Amino acid sequence: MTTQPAPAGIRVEAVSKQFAHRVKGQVYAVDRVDLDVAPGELLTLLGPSGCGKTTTLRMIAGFEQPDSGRILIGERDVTRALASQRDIGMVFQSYALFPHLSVFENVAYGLRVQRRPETAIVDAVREVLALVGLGGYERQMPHQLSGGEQQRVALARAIVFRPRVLLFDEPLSNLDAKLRVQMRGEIQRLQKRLGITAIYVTHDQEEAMAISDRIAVMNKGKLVQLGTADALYRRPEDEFVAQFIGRVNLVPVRVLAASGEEVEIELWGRRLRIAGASGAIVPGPARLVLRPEMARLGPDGPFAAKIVERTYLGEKSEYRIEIGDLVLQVAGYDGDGPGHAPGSTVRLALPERGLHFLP
Amino acid sequence: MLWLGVGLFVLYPLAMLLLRAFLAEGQLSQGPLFAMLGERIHRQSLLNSLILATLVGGIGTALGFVFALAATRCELSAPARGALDALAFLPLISPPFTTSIAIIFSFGPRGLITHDLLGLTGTSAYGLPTTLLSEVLTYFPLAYLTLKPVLAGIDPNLEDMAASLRAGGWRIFRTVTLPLCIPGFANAFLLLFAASLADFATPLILAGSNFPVLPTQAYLQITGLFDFKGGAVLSFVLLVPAMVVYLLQRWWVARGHYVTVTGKVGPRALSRPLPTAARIPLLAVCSALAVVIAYFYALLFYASVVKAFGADHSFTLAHYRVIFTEGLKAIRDTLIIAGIGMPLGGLFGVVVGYLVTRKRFPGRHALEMTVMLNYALPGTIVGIGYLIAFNDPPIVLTGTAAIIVACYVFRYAPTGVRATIAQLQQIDPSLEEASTGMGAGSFETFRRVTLPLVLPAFFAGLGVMFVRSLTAISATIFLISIGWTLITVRILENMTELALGPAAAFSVLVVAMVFAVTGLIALLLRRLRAPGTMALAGSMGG
Amino acid sequence: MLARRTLIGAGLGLAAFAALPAQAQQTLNAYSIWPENWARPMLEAFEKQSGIKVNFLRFSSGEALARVIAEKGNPRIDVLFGGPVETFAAGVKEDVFQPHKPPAFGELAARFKDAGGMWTAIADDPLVFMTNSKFLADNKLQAPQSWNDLLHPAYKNMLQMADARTSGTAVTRIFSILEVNGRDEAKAFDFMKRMRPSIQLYTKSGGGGTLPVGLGQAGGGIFFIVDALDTKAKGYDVQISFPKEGIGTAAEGIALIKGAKNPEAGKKLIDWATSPAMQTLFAAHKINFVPAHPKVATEPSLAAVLKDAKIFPIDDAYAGPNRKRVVERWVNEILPGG
Repeated sequence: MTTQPAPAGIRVEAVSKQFAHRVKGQVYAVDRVDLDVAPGELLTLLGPSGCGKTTTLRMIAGFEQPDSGRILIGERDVTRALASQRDIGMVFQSYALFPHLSVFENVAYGLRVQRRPETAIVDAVREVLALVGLGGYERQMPHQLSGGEQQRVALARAIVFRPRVLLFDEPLSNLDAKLRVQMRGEIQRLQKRLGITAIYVTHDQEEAMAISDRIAVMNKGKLVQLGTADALYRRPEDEFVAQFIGRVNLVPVRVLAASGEEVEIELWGRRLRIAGASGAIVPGPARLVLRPEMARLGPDGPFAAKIVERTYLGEKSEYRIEIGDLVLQVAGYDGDGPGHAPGSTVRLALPERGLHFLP
Repeated sequence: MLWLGVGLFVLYPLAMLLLRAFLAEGQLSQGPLFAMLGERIHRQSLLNSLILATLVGGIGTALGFVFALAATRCELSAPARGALDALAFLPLISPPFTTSIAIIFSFGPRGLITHDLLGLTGTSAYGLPTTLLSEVLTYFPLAYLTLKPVLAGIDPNLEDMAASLRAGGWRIFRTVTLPLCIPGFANAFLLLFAASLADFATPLILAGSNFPVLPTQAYLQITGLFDFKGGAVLSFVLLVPAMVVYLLQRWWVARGHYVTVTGKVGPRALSRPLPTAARIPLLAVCSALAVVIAYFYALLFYASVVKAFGADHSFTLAHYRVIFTEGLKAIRDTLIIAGIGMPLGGLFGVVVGYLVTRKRFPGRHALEMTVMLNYALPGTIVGIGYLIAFNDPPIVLTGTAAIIVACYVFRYAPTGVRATIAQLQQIDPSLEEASTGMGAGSFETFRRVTLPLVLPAFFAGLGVMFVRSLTAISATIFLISIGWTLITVRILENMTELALGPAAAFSVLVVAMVFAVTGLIALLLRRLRAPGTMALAGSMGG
Repeated sequence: MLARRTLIGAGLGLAAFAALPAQAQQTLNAYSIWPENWARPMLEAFEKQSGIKVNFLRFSSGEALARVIAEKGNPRIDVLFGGPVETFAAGVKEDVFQPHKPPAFGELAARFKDAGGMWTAIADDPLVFMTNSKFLADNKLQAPQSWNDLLHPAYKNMLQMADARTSGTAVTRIFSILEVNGRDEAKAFDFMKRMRPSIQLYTKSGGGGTLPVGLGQAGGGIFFIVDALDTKAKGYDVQISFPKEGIGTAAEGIALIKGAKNPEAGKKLIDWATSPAMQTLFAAHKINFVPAHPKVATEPSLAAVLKDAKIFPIDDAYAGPNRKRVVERWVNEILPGG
């Protein structure tokens, strides 16, 4: 196997791209996006469809030209370089296997372009097919393979010539749920093992959280937040990120006083002191980012709430509770107990540290 | 009922034709076949037909591909693409001889192009080169219409993928785009091969005496020498390659295209445009062809408004006066026959298409194959078959409008059948079952659910019937009579009588009428939210 | 099927009846071998004069004859109008006509009628050589004065003339060559073989080559004088000449179809067409046929052209029986070329 070149970082600097829209005229598909991907890192572009993540990826790949901004791979400015000169491997949602070529020839395509000697090609293809678990499939044609197998061929083809960068465009969305979970694990292990810098596009937040070192959330052409999965979940910078990643209750509160990371808030007529708070912690109205599993239902707690609905999910139950004129989603870990019946009244407790606030 | 009609108007004439060809003194024998093939001119005709068809297939496919590339890979603006489509549509709806007339004026010892422009002497307007040129211009749109969806259907990610694997533009084209078009090439080549093999009108005017081809020889054998047997034998000789091509094409289509292998295409990826260096020659070829076609049609129009082309170029509307007085009967007859044929053919197409896709009954594949037969066979064969079958008792139809209508219906309704099948195959039968389940009767279901679904196919069928009624000649030239004549036959008469003015005027009239009617139908189709003109054009060719 | 046809027939009958309240108009069906622009004014004049409606369809002579033969069992027309005499002779052989001797019959020369009255002539039409003046000038040639002039190398691939399978012009031409060669078929066919390299195109109809010659697309050809003069009249610069060995002329005929559905109307047309009533119209419509009726004078300019020409009639007693065989030999030996 050829040796892996040193992984390269990727820098995207203030890249913009406009498209003509049938109704709206010129619109920004990508609006001044900055990214900095560390060598060997797997960064995910996450967002709803139409948010500009695929366009960003295609500009990095060289399939589309940015209107402004710069793209660097390693130290090299590739903004105007052809796709064929960027040293990237690509995996498409549709796999984009060449239907007229066998598995072997699909994987060998890039090597043949580089005019490697035949024996080197055979060895490299064998090795990479074994790596993705498709040893012995060389002579199959793409249409004879299952979706998962096709995806592995696409992966093998992208990595066989050891690119410095791997780009994934929703690679798993054509697979069923179970296979998707299995494949994303394999992609992640492979990427780490080869140490290739990778950018991964998906609209599935769970997939993004499972696979990424860092996640860049995009919305309406703009990069809204970039960080680790944990940071995005716990400390979203705006309502869109809070809503898009996981489930959330945004509870109106009033910040009474703040000193450092310690705040005093007023909630449902009571005053609470919170340590290690983050976000919009300046005196005035704010919204508490309350994830369902953060609240505790039980016999004690400062607040009284009424159970509206209960959905039993085995390991936990999901409740809809009424408190004041708000309806909240709360997860309840009932253990062996019977849980709370709809209509009953319970007490609600909040953690006393680490809460996050939005303005 | 359906079998009766199909049997009577498809199988019976073909059987009679074969019988006539191989029955010698009450005995079946290959004697007549060998006798005809023993004559040098007929062997030569067969060879010429095959050479011509091969060349038309090859060159036409190449040109069609160039056009398809221009339409899909050159980032043309919408109006430019529309112009390409219109340009490709024009030859498809033109009456026969339109390019032939223009070519006769343009080439040869005193041709506008060869002599006046290029100063060549000793050239000839007749023979393989001009026949080839005319047929290529007439039929390349079939290749264009076949290849454009193939090119457009290639997942753009495939070409992007190749680029990311470091392949350059030319290599991508050679190793990805081109191989993926191979089934399309085969299909287009066979279509063009069959069309050229069946073409009788172009060689009649242009092939000349040194390049005889089979359909024309069969026509002359019958109309000139009153040799039905000889005509039948020549038709049979033509039938063999036609059937081979038909079956090959069915086989290709059944194998399907590569393109459908993978699942859904990624979002909004655009086809990879060709590099500028490749675009310039492509667009140059397209423009050249556009100029040629525009020049031919301009010439045709010019010939229709001058007194005597080549001698007296003063403006006159006399030729139009002629076609609207002396030619009025032909126009009226043609429109009446088209008027009767359209609804019958449209209905026939939809009913057969519906039965074949939705109802299970023994022999439905056989029915579909049989229905397609008259469509696949060269018109000369169909016409001669009808003439032989319906000239003598028990069924005498020659001399009536019915025989022409029947010929049109059974020859051109199959495009409607195909359109209906294609339409119905996209729609889950459960839609209809759901309707029946909700208590609607089977007629109610047909009316409320199925009918709206097949309506676009019905209108496409109507369009094809109309266009063909106004432009076809190869079969119907044998079927006209004192009572019923057709515009196309009048054009041929005018051509051979050298009344080129009226011939040109008739042609202009036909093009205008066809444009008007197909435009109307395309409008209707758009109302029905079905693919418009191009669907119509597509069914015209395939 | 039969029932349906009757129904259609009844429907058509009704329509005709409704259209003509006073008296059922007589109608007449004909195939015309004359081109539409000559046949139409003649037949319209007849309609006006007789009140009989004429439906006609134009075909080349071979096609028209083929149709008449094909329809023998159930004739669809009453009269075959125009066309060279050899076509009519062949028709007699195929037994498709019935005799009718019009009033003019007695006055006509023997070659202008079938002795039994199967057909009668309405005009005479000599063949001519027609050449393009510019072509002649370019090649420093005179208009051809002999059949052998057509073998000159300058004519290579430059002559257009009719195809014997469809055109009576061609058959008249072939019989002219036979006559010039003393009816020696071997010699005549040898000549035609030698002329073959000069042929650019065999056209479907007799006049098919006139326009190409007029335009200069072809150098020349052999045509009926009526077509040749028509070309000249349209303004094309062509020359008309006659071979010194002589060239054939064909009577243009008319005949009543055997089993005609409207025999009386048909006879009226034949009576009219063979009389001066029609033939005096030729000059007025600039149709350069030589009238067959002795009482009609040839139009002066036409007579001038014909003045010194050596012209002989095609003998239908010889042409009729030999037509089919000679044409077949032509198809096999001459048509395919070298």
